[in-house]
Amino acid sequence: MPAIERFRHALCRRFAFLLMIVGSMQLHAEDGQNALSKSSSIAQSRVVKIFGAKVGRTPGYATGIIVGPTGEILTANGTYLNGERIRVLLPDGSSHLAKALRRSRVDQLAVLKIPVETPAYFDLSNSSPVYQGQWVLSVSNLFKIADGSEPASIMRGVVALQTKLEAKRGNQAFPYEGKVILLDSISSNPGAPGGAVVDANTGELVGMVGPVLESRSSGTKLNYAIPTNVLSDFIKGESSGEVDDKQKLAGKAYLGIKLFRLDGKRAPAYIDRVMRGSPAAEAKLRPDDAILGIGDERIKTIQQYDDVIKTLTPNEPIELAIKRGNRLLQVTITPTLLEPKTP
Amino acid sequence: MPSTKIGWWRITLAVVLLTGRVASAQNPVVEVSAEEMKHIRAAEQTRVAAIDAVYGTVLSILGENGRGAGSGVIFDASGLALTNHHVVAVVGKKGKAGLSDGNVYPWTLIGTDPGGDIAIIQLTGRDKWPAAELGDSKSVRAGDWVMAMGNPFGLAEDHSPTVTLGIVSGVERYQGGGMVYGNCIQVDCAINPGNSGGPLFNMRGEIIGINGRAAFAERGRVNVGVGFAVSANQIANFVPDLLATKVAQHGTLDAQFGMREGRVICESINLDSRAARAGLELGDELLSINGIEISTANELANFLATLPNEWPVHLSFAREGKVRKLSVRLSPLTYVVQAQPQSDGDPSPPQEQEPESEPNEDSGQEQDSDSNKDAKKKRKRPGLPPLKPGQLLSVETNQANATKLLEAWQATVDTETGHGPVAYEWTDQVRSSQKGESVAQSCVTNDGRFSYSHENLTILRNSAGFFLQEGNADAEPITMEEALSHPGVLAVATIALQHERNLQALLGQPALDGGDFVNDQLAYRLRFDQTTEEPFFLWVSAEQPETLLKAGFDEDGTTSRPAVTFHHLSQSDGQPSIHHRRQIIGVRSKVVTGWMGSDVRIGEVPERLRNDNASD
Repeated sequence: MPAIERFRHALCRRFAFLLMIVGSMQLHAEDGQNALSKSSSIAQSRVVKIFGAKVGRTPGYATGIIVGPTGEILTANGTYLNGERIRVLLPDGSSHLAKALRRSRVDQLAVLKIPVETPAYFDLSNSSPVYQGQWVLSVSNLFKIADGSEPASIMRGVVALQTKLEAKRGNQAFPYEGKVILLDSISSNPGAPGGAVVDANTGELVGMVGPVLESRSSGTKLNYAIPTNVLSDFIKGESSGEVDDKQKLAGKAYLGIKLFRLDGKRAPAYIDRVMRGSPAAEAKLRPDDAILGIGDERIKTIQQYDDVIKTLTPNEPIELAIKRGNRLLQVTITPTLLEPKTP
Repeated sequence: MPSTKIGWWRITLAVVLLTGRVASAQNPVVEVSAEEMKHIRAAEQTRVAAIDAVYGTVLSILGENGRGAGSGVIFDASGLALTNHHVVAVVGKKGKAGLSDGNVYPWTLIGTDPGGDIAIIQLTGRDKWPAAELGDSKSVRAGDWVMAMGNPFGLAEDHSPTVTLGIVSGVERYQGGGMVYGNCIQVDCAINPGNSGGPLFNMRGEIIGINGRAAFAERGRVNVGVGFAVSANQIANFVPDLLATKVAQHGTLDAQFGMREGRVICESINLDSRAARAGLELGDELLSINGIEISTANELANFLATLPNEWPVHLSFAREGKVRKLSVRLSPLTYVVQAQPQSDGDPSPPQEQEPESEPNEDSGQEQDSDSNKDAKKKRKRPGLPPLKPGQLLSVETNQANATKLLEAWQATVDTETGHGPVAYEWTDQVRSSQKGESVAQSCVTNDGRFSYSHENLTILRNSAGFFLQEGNADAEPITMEEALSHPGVLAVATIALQHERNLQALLGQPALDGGDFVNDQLAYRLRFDQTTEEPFFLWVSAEQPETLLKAGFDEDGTTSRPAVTFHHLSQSDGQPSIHHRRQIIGVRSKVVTGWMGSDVRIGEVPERLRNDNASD
């Protein structure tokens, strides 16, 4: 059963149970209000806004959490980190250029560093257990609503389930295989990845909002957090998965395909040339192949091809649908980094 | 309602009993103790009570054809309700509204604010209406629990509102676009198409905002957890203009501010603007406005977006290390009034179900034969006609509202009936910036006559009219306007006016000129321009219309005629208790003369104020 279905079943079965726990904390008149305000301001003082490269339709902004006293910032991996400049806005509104220290394709995480002290940070070393029905707040700069020093947006939710996912991100499969915390708040929105998910009462970190994902089966967007222990392992460098350096994932994806472009942008995407030694050559693509699909995206025109290509990440395998003569082929291709041209 | 509540609990408990074992299998066991259960029930009851208290005030706004367009909320027992401009824009000047009791009532548009997306409508068909109160949105904090109510997707055929619970995600948000939401409230409770114009309540059942837009992206036109409400305090600022039936205008400084090295700097300014003429220059660093510290250009834009045209603002700014001050009234912000809401933009305002029309129907298609005339009529697109910023939608309603306010002002004092004529006398310590200290004698009667004697001058009004007496000379008749042009007289005469039984005969028909901000209070400005050469204005408190705040011949006492403000003015047992009056000049309300009144003595009406033998 796909994860989303499991999630739905579980949620239905336990809906009433959740409500009971919900009731036990909410609306203890003023107490509840104070707890939410307190925990949200704890989180807001440890959440940063990140601005980077806008690639295609993928937004060029995200959220991050401060995880160390000397400018260590943890965020979700994404194409917005591919650009030359990454700008981090601290809660006080001050703006700093950041360096991406490490990025992980598997964990979907990235560590940034800014050259200032950050005395208010989340201590990842002591995380308390997460439980189903737990009240949480997600704090992020979704839709970049908050400007400058304005506090990040908060949403309330309940931990619905801890489970593994089968999902996709954009056109590429989601490589993260660990557990995620599913939430009932609509926290997964543009700009939200990298946001903090904290306990509603204590403000303690429960997890981090991950990249926007869709269920493979239903296309539903998932609201989830990557648990604190995964974040902690990644920071300590003890991540189970492969950790890439900045170079490996930064920059544009390169396939080594030249399309036949003389018929304009609305013409079908026929391959004109395959560059020697390129990923396309490795995947045994040939001139005159028509590209009909990239990942789950149907490609009807050169324009669509160009749009989708921009969203690909180097070193993340992707499936192409190819028409060769009268045959339809599925080809897996792994883009490499597009090296900047030297003059 | 009560029966469904019990039913809900029964089902919940049953489900919990059945599934409790399953639920605890994978997770830490979270037992609900008897004590916690008590809290849960109490919390539930508190919330249900809060909802019950305001449920009946929520409207489902419908077009004349009865189809859903949005939501609204009654905020005054006389049937005045708030909704969004973009809701009435698609319906027009008249429509229908469904209440939670299932009844549908007609409404007419009173006033609308196309720039701030708020409109006031008047319901008819009942004498008294359930009403919710406007709360103070300044006390709203991120994390507060809130409830949105309305009719999303036109779900409720019986017009019973949908309640969605959530928290405040952020305050003082700025959402630009065709309609500017300044200092608005961001919430995570579900706001969907159809919620537009509906109330955002706090858990005490006060209206803290009107839900107007949401981020509709990524998931189609449904809630994505981001909704925005126009703040109650912005609404309060515009209520006087809207009750004046205006197409409200927002105010601007006519100067742009931007961030330079962490400071808010004037980057461009219209040299004809009031601010420039008052001394603001390029490069000046803004420090505060109306006492609110400004540290980002966004904060300034946020604050200004909540203010109507002609609002007084007091700026504090720095130039070459020196702090300076200036006070101006805002100028009208120019914008194109869109009768139909714009459809693009992200996040876009919820546009509700299409009212009825075929969109984009152009006139070219209407070249039908005569037999199609009726069909053509029906296809006529509903919605507001083009509006001119500042125009009055209804002079009659404007005057009726002004009369109501005057009546409220007069209602609390003793206007003679039953008691016979009574005079209230007191002594004033007069402090003038030019002439130093002196003493004045004042007297008003409970039927509107008065006298004011200062040094060797006496001005009085009796049944024969207004008179001026210098020294021992004979009293000469003067016009009302001449009498009121003396600041000391203006102050006393206005207090007497409150007791005048036939105010309209004396001053003519009042008009509601709009809103203003006087003595740090929101005020209604009433205008009389039928019996005096220059229009005469009275300002009463928006919160307590019985409280007089100001009187004068123009907004700021800047012409040759005076303006007077009233302080600590309160009535007790129907008699005036006047402690302090000030003659002020300019937007900054610079005090020229002050009057400090003694305790009031109640006595017989003095000879010269009596009805018959006053003058000659």
